[in-house]
Amino acid sequence: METRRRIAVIGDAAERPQQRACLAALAEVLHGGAAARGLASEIVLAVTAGSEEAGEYEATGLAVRGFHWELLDAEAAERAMYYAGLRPLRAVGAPSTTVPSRLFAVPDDGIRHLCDCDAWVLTHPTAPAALLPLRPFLVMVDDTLHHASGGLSEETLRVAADNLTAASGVLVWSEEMLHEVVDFYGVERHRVRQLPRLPACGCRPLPLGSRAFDHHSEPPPEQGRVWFVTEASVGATVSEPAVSAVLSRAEPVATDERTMAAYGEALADLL
Amino acid sequence: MKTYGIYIAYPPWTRFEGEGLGRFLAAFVRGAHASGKARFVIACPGWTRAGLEELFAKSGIPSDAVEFLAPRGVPGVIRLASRRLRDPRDDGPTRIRGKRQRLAGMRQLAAAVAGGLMTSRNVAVILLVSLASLPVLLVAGLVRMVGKLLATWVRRPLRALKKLVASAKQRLRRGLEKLSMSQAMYEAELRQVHRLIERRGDVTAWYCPTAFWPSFNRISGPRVVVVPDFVVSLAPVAFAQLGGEAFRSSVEKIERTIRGGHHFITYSQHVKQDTLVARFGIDAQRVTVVPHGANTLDNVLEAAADDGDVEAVSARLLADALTKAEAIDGRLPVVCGDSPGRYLFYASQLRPHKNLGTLLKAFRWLLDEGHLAHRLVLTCSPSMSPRIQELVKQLGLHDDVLFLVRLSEEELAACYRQAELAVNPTLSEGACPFTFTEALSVDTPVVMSRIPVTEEVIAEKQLQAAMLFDPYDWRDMARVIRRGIEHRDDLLAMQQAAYATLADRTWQNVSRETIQALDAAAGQGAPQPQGTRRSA
Repeated sequence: METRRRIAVIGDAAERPQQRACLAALAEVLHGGAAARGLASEIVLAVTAGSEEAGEYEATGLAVRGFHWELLDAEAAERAMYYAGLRPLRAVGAPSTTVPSRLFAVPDDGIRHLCDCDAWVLTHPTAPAALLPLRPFLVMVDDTLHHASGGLSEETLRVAADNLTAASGVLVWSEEMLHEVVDFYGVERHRVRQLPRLPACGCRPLPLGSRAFDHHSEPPPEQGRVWFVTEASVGATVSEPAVSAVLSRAEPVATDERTMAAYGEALADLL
Repeated sequence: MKTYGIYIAYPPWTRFEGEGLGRFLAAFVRGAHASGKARFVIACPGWTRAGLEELFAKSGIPSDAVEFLAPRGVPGVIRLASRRLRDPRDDGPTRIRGKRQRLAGMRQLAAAVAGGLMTSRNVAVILLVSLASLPVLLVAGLVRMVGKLLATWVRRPLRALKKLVASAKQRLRRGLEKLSMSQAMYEAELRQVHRLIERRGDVTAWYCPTAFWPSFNRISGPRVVVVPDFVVSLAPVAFAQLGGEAFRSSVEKIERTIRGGHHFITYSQHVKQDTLVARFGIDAQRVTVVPHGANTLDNVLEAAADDGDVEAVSARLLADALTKAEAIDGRLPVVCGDSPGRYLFYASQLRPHKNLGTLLKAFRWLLDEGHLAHRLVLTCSPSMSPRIQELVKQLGLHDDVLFLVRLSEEELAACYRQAELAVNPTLSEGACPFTFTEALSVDTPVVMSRIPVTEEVIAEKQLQAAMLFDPYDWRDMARVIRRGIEHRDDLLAMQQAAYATLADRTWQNVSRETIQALDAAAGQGAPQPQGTRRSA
């Protein structure tokens, strides 16, 4: 009998209904994709603690758990790797632990830090610190070009780079994002997989002159760069030229077989 | 009649009599002795012998049932020391590094001398040798200091002096710390124990009831070690935050014991397959599964009830137990009279894999949405986990959860008997939790986690559906608890049939199967012992 694999889809900062719909759709398509590939799987939707009761998640019928990020120092991180029966951090290509102040992030669901799951899918490359690789993980990238806008700190970008390079694979939704992941973050091309964008996570161009960023302290996006913003960023003025992507307000819709198969294949590679 | 050896290697000042391992050992020896087919020698340090004798006496094991193989008396240092002096950092296998390795020979010699001194039974000798060695140590230190000074003086005198002072300070601190010398003493005592073991040629096979002691692998005869579980792999992050490097050192010892082991006993198929075979690559043929016997508490209450009124004595013992409630932030639930009212009961220590957080979430929901008016009674100390304290506060459960600590066995039995329902939400155990037989022995139904070790024992599907829940899903846990309360009598009736079967398995069965495993190990020949110089 085939063992059923449990996969955590970790969606940090999914505070707004649009983001929640996207996260739920992603979890569903991964579940459906796994089934299409003949993989017996169970998806655990791990969402920001306090938001697990949201209707968007309930509608999926999937297991939902709240979580928050917990930080471990390098010594504790090494111990956790040892207890989990894994090789030391340096040996698995994780960021160096020789820096005493180096911290590692683990998703704390109040039970086993999602270690009951066989694999993790991180829906965003940023976290409070580099992810401790207690499980093999995929990272999804939907708005990597925000670095060009100067909207993220160097530390955040470094963590994103750490997570993208340590991941078993990176999932993107467009050619531009694929190049960004390879060129800016230095991820090997063969580890990046381009997948169809989900309807619930669809993009639409913002008209020039519209406001995309709502943090007034942020510097304006760099001129001449192509960039994406998320729905969370809507509010600031879009500079020219810009290709902007925002999370669609569309309700989740059923995805086609091709999409399912593509996501299922990504999951099969991970497992 | 064959003779079997039991290996015990607790460090000094370890209390084990009331702990699970002590109780298990007593049950095992009692069961084996009752069979009349085996006799035992127990090899242990001198400081453990009295505790074991006391434990066996309390457990009704006649003094002639076992023979002790222990260095005579107790080291004078132990008698002199009024309290534990052990430095946990000395336990680590990684302590001897770099510079210290260059002087390994001298250090071994010094450790041997110190160990000999530390295990001396004569206090006068200890004092005399210590006093006599002081001038030697002072001169040696002086010579070394002068040598260092001369070597560095030519180059950068001031820097050298500062360095030397810093180094001297550090060495002084280390020296003071090492005055305890407990690790050297422990090693020296174990060497004596192993010398005694080597002289015994009549032991069929050696048995070690826990994997804490890698020194067990030094025995050259057939040996079988028990590996109850390896829970750190289940919750690696939580355990990494618990106990730091000293705890890691203990885990490394378990790993060394397993990797150097020859034959093994586990309490469940799950630990055999998932831990020994899958994680450590042990050949499954070398692992025997010996499930626990039934732990029952009805006999405890019957013994406590002089007049035969078990109900009355239970109520009194519960009232006694309530006086042992531990507060969070000085707040205790208000208890009217001598009873907490209707309650759910979970008897457990507070460890990461015990999954108390999920139970608290389920309990909050049951109070709010499940129309429950129960309390939750626990047997752990909240002071052991700031995280649990925080969760109790966050969920507003101050007045609903009772933490009863340091319960006697009689009080534990009473808590089970008076409970509406026993609950066990654990994520993993080495064997089916004792909750099942303990609760049912006093007519209290149980709901438990659906985990492999439980499903091994509770195999009937209908019963599983009625009493098991997904421990990762507090909603499912709450649902099964509520159903258990609503259909308490039906659940109890279903479970009593399963209990009757399990209660048939006595500790005599366990002892017999353990001895069969020892015989099997002996039949396969003696393994290669590990080097005796290796740190335990």
